[in-house]
Amino acid sequence: MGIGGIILAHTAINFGLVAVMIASLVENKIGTLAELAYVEGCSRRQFLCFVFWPIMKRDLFLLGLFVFAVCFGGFAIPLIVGGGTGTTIEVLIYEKIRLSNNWSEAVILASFQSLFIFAISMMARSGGGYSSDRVVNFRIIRMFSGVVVLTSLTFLGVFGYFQGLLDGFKQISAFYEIQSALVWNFLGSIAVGLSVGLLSFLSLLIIAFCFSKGWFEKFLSGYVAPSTALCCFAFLVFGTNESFWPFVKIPIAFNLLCIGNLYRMGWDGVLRALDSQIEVAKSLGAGARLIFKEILLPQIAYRGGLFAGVAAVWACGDYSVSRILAHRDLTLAMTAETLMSSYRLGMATLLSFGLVLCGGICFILMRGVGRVFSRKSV
Amino acid sequence: MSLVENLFKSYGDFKIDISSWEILDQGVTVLWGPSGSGKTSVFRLLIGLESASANFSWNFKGHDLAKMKVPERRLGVVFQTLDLFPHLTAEENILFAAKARKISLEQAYENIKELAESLQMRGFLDRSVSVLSGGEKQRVAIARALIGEPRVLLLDEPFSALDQDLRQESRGLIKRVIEKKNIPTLLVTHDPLDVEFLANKVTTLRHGQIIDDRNIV
Repeated sequence: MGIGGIILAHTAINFGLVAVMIASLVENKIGTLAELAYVEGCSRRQFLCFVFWPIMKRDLFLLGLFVFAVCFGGFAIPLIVGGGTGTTIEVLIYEKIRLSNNWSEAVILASFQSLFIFAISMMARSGGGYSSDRVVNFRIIRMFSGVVVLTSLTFLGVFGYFQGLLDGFKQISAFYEIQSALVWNFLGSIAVGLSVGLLSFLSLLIIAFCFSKGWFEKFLSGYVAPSTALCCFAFLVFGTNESFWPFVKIPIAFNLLCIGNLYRMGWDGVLRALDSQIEVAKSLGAGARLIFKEILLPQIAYRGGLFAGVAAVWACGDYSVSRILAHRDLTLAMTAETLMSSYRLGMATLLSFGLVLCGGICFILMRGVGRVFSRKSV
Repeated sequence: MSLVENLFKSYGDFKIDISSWEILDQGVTVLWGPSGSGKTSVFRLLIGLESASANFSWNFKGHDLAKMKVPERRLGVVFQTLDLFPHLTAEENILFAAKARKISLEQAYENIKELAESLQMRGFLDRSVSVLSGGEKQRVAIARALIGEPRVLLLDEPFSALDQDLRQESRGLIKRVIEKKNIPTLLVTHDPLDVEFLANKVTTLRHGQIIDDRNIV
């Protein structure tokens, strides 16, 4: 499908996330203004031009940058829908290492890629605007036509998905040949998802512990995840890859790759919301450990569990990292990719139910971990 | 007297410029001034939440508080927004400050008992602060500031969130506690009634500079 296919796939995948993030931004930053504008009789066009855009443009730029960074460094989608060779820099890095064993060029490309994203990150200034604690009634502002647009776009995706499912059901007998592998790979997906979730949870808590130090916040703002291909190949050449080692290397590599995104996706906001409490605790004479244990942990653990759950779901559905680090199919995502590579798209679509189930289980478990930590620490 | 010297800080087109200022080491010193005069900035600079000029000093009973780290200054602080920890009960909020000051648990409970008595908090100590009324929250914030036996108590517009009747009651309560504990207090306010009721000394601030400094007889 080439570049067009990659853009389409990225757009379809990120559309929901972006919609949720914009909705949350609007609610938190200009919710009260939206309500006031509605009461004052302001039209939607006026609101968009004179309130939404002037106040939110920086935030939208940051959101765009976040999506850009995710897609620019994305590896799985270009690999499967890109076709041809060297469709994106990430695929080019992968090919330099895998096909030509040319590490030096791969490292140069990866450095260029990281520098590019870092430079754009530096250009972005944090969002401004208002914020208010007043409760906003968004139900009165909702627009029916917005639901129609969303439903139409969702329908396009769902239609293709159901077509794949129908094909998959027709070939269901073919699953009997691989049923044992499917069970093991289901467990493999759960193992990878949970280890990524737990590692991410730990990393998020470490970030929270160090957050009040100014240098650390600056480091995180400029932190650019390393190239997926380069990071994975580096882990590949480091030590053995047999036995349980892929299950150790995959979560560590995945955690390194996704922690920056989790931070920018809202973990920074969660921590910043507690700034004033940290300030008070400091002025009362509390040290970093006491502040973390008694003030931060009880209030952030649950949210941390949710973020870690997102990372776990992400890991359950990803095959790019595990494809490099594992010598055979260890997870359902890898099996699905193998099926897609052999053009058994229906079967792969049907297998996505298993992925959703794995993701759901991991998400619920990670949410539970967050809840337990938040209760234990009170 | 404790002496504050060379308290300078520039915020672009606004600056705090205090070359010398005496704060009482007994009774209440009120830092008074209209909104935007720089009172809260001075408050934050004294606590150490913002850094002032390098030669800033705050001489209190032979110690230069300005050269100490924030926790070492041992100040009791009540912010305008009170900023209680919402996930803790009233008692846990106060206990947190005791732990921060490394007061033994036994001593902390002893102090809480005494503070609960003088600030009339017995009825709601075990309640989550999120369900307390404005007046109750304010008393918890004051108890939290006092439990660490601070060198100086700093209050930033502590009555601003209360209604008129409650304000007068709170002023009386705070005055009694301060006198009983004999803690030097710096009160930041723009309310003339606070000055009238509590002040032993009034410092008037305008555009970041002290324009009047006088003791109340």
